[in-house]
Amino acid sequence: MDIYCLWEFRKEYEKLLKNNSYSYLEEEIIKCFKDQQSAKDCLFGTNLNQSHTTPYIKKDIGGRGGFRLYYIALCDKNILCLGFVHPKKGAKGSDNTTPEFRSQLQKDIFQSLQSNSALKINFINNSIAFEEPQ
Amino acid sequence: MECVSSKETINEIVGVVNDVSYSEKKDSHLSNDDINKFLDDISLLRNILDQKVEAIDNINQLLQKISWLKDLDDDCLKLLNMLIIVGKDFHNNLTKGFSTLDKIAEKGIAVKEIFEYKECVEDLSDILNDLDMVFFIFPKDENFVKITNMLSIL
Repeated sequence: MDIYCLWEFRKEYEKLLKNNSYSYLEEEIIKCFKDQQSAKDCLFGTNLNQSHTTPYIKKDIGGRGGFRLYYIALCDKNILCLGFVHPKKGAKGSDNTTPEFRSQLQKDIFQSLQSNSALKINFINNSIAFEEPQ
Repeated sequence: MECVSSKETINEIVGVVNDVSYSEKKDSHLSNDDINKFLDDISLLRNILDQKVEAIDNINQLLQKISWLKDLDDDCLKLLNMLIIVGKDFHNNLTKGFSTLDKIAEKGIAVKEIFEYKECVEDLSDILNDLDMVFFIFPKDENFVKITNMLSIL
């Protein structure tokens, strides 16, 4: 399974990692996906677009008061693309995202995958490495 | 004379201490029984909150599963609409006790349990709003539907 993400996702992720309260985000993302064999194994949380082949998923990670992760799974291509993550609590914590935000995010993920501009995510030695597109 | 006066003063203080000591012995406001009852009440509150958290977590998981159901017809959507309304009413009832719980937590009592309880109640509200979006808002959003369909041709 290949995992990609938006550039905006990386920006937000790196910003959060600098904050001590959220430094466990990296570990939680790895825990969530590292041992999954295929995109079909990542169909959990809430399915926002009612699709079963290309679901747009909202998943809580990191336990109570942890993070909310938004991603799309392309089951037939065995690909995930992470779009956005935010903490639920603390200084950078925020409420549930709006329908407008979610609609735009789905579009952003689609366009990023279509134009092959998404960053590839690799799990190396229990850390996340971003690979820019060729 | 001074010595007699000092003796009287000391005697008066002894009397005061004796009185307080006696009444404390006789009618203590912090008897072991009272303290034990207080601790029992805290323990009971913790257990009640834990049980509520378990029940609400279970509901939250069931509600999330609904978003993965296929081929929902009009009857299903009507039922789902009713479920969302009932769920929101349930959520409103749960939040009514929040201010009391906040005051208890401020005193350092059952802090973890109160935090977890409030979190899962907030999750319930978020999941109900998610279901509303999934089944009643996004299907009317032409752009959203179009992009969802286009994902399958990637």
